[in-house]
Amino acid sequence: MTRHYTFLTAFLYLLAATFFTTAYAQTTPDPGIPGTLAVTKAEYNLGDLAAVLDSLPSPAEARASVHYPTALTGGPYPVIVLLHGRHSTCYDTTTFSSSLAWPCPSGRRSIESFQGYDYHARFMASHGYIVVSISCNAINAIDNSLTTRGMPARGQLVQYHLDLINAYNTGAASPLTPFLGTALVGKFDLQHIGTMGHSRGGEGVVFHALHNRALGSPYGVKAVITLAPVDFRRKVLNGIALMNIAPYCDGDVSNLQGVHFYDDSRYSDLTDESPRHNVLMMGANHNFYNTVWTPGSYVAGTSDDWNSIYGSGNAYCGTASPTNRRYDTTTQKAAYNSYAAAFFRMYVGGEEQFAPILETRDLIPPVSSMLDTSNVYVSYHPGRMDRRDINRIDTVLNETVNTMNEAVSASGLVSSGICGGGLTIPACGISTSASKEPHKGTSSIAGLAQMGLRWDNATDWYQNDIPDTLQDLTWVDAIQFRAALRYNECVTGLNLDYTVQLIDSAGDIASQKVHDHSYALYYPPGTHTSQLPKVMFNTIRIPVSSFTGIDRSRVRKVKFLFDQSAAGSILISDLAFVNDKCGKVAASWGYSYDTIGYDVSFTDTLNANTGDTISWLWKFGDPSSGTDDTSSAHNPSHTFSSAGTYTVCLCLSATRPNGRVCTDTVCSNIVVVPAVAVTSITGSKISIIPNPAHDYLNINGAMPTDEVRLYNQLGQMVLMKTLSETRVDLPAHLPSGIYYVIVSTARGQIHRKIVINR
Amino acid sequence: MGNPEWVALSFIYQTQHIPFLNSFSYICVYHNRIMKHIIVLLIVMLSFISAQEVKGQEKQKARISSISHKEKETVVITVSSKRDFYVGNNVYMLYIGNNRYELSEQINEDGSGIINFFIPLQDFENTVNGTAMYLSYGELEVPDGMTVEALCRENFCPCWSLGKLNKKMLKP
Repeated sequence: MTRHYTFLTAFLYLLAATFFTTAYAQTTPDPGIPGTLAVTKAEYNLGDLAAVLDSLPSPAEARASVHYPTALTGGPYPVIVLLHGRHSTCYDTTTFSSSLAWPCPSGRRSIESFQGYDYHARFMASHGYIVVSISCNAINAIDNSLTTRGMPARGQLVQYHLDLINAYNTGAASPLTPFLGTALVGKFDLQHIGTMGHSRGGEGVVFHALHNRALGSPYGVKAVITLAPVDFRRKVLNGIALMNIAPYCDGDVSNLQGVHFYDDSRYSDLTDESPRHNVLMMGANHNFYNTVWTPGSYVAGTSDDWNSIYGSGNAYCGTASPTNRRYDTTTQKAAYNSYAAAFFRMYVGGEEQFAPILETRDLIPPVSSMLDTSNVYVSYHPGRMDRRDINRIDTVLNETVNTMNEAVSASGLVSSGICGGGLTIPACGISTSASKEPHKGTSSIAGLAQMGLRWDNATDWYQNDIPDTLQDLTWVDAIQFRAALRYNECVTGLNLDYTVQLIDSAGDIASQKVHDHSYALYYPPGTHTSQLPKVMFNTIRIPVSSFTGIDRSRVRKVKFLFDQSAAGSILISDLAFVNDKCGKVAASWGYSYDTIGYDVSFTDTLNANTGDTISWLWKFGDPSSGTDDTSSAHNPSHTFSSAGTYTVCLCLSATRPNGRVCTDTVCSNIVVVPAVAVTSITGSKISIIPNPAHDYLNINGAMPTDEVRLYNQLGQMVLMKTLSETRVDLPAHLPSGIYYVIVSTARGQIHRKIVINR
Repeated sequence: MGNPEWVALSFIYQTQHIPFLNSFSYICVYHNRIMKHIIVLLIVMLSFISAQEVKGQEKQKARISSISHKEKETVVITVSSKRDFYVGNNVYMLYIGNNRYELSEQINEDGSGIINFFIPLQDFENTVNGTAMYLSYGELEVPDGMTVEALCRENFCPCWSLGKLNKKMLKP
C-alpha cells in the first residue's frame, strides 16, 4: 500500500529546475517542488449506495482515496478535499464503451474519476497534508434531470465525508476504521481545510463552503479552488480565500464561466477581507487536469475535450494545427499542481512566501509549472484591508466620478464609457452572453461593469483624481487594475501597451509603461470561431516605488496616456491602490478636542492580528509645529499652531510573527477651530440633535446671542448663523457626510461632529 | 543497411509489426522498381486511411426521434444520434423558437446517443407547430452577421439544427 514517489519525482523536478532556471530568473520560492515526506495512499469504500443526501433522490456512493504522510509523526495535518466533475460513470469491461448510470449495471465497472488527481494528492501529502479525493459518480449520473444540477448534493456529499472523517478522527467506532486502521485517528486537522472542485465539482465546493457555513462552520474551510468550473447558479462566496483556474482551450465549459466566482464576489461584500485569485492557463484544456479523463491514462471515457467538441484544426487550441500552443498532458498537470500548491500552502498552510506568484508581484511562473510568461496570466483582488479602491467601475456614475468621489476625465478618446454590468447598461459588444467576460451583468450582482477606452492618437488620455486625504502614496505598495483587449476594435494579433502616469500636486509627472510590468495586454489568440478569441481580464500591477521624480506623498492624479500605439481599445476594471497581503493589519483612529488652546488628543483604534508587534507614526500635517509634527506615541496629543483644517495621518506598522512587516495608513481631515481658544463650558446643557440629521438641527440650551458654525470635512465653513431660535435649517445643497458644528458662546465653545443623511 | 528508404520501411515494421512488410523491405532494398510501386501503393493506402479519418471527423448528426408524454404535465422530446453524445460538464440545451430547455436525461449505449428533454406540457401546447428547433452543448451564442442555422452547420460548433417541431409526433 505504501508507495514512495518522492525521491524519483524530486529528482525529475530538480532536472527540470536546472534546465528552466537557465532561461528564467524566478525570485519567489517554487511551490511545486515535492516535499520530503514519504506518502501512503489508502481508500475507503462504504458502498455504491451508502450516502443518503437530502437533495439527491437516490443514494450516492461513499468512496474516497486518502493520501497522507507515511510516518504520521506529529500532526494533526491540514486537510485538502478534492471533488471531481461530471464524467461518464461506468464502462463496459468488454467493449470499453462508457455510459452514465449508477450503480453500474452488470458487465460494467465504475470509472474512478476521483483517482485522477492522485498526482496532486501525493504532492500535497509530501508536504504534510492529508488529501481526501471523493467519488461523485451517483450525482453525475442523474444531475442533468435535476433543476439544481446536483450542486446542493455535491456540497452535502463533501460535508458527509467530513462528518465521516470527523467521527473517525475522534477515535470512536467508525465505518472507516476497517479501511484506514487507527493510525490516522486524531491526525486530521479539520479546522484547516482547503477544497478543490473540478468542473461541476468546482461549483460543488462553493456550495459546500456555503453549506458548511450555514451549519455554523463546524469545519474550517480556509481556501477554495474552482478548477475549470461551471457556475450555473451564480452563488457568491465571500469570506474565504478563493482561486479560480480558467483553461483557455477549455472545450467543455468553453465560455470560462467560472471566472464569476472571482468577479461576482469582488464588491458584493465591502467588508470582505478575503482575497481572490484567477489564473488563466492559455494552453490548457478541460480534461487533462484529471488523469482518468486523459487519453492514454485510463481505459475508457477519455477525450481531449477541445478536439472532441471544436475539432483539432483550430490554429491555437487544436492539436492537429502546427501553430497550436496547447500544453501537453505533463505540462498541464504540472501547471495545476504548481499554482494549486502555492494557493493551498499559503492559505491553508500559512506559507506566505508564495504570495508574489498569486498577487502578480512576481510574473515569472514557478519553474515546476513548466510555463512561461506567455501562457499564464493571473488576476488578484486583495481583501478589504489590502486594497483601497480608486475606481471600482461598478456603476455608470464611475464614468465621471470615481469610488473616491473624485473626478474622472478623458480627452481625445474615440470612445469611452461603462459597458455591461446591469440590465440597463449596454453590453460591451463582444459577446451577448451573461456567462463570460466581458461582463454583460445582471440586475442583482454588483460590480460587473467595465470601462471601455478606445484611442487613435498618442495624446489621448483617461484620468482619475485622488482626494487630499489619500494623496500620500508613500505607504502604498502598488497601483493596479485589470485589463483586457477589446479585440474586435483592435488590429488582429497586435498586442498593446500604454503609459500609466502619476501626477503630484505640483504638476510633476512620473510615467511607467504597462508592458514593463505586465504581459496582460495581449491580443487573445485563436482563429475566430464562436468560442475564440476569449476575453479575460488580467491584473496589471505597477509598484508605486517605480514612479520617480514626483512627490509621492502628494499624488493627485492617476492618468492613462495612450501613447504607445497608434490606436487601440481596451476594457478596464478594479483600479486600486494595494498593499502586500498583511491580513487584518489596518490603521484607524479617532480624536477629541481638548479643553484649552488648539490641543487635540488622538486615539489609535488599531486592527491587527494577534501576535503582531505594533509601532505607530503620526503625521499631523502641521509643519509649523516643527519636530512636533510627527509622533511615535500610541495615543498622542498635538497642539496645532493655528486654526484651520489639517490632514492627519496615522501609519501603523505591524511586524507579523513570521517577520513580515505590514503597514497601513489612514489620513483624515480635522478642523481646528479658528479665533478664540476653546474653553470648556462648565455645566453646559447645550445639546445638538438629531444626529444623524436630515434637514435641520435643534440646538437646545444656547442663548439667543450665541453663534453656530458648520464646517465640512475640508474645513470649509458652510453655514454661520446667530441662534435667534433653537432650530437651524440645514441648506438643501449640502451633501450627505460628516460635518463639524461649533457653537460659540460668551462662556466658550462646544464642538460636535454630526452626520447629515440626505 | 544504409539505404534510407529501407530504414524507413524497417521503422514501420518495427513500430507497427506488420509481418508482410519485413520480406517486402528486403525486396525493396535490391529492387528499386518494385520498391517504387510499393511506395505508390503505400501512399494510396495512406490516402485512403486519411480519408477515413476525415470522414470520421464529420459532424455528428442529431434528430428528433420521438415525442411522448411523461406523467400528466410533462412532454419528453427525444433527440437521437448514431454516435454518443459527449459526456461533460456543460449542459445540453434544446431550443424551440425562443424557449430554451435544459432538464434532460442522457443515455449513451452501444455507441449511440440519446438525450430526453423534459418539457412542460403547457409550453408544448403553446408552441406553434413548425417552430425551428436546435440542440446545443452549452449556451448558444450566435456571432453577429450569422444565423443560428448557419452556425449549426459549422463543423466544429456544438450545435445541431433539429428541423421544425412536428406536434403530430406526440404519442398519446
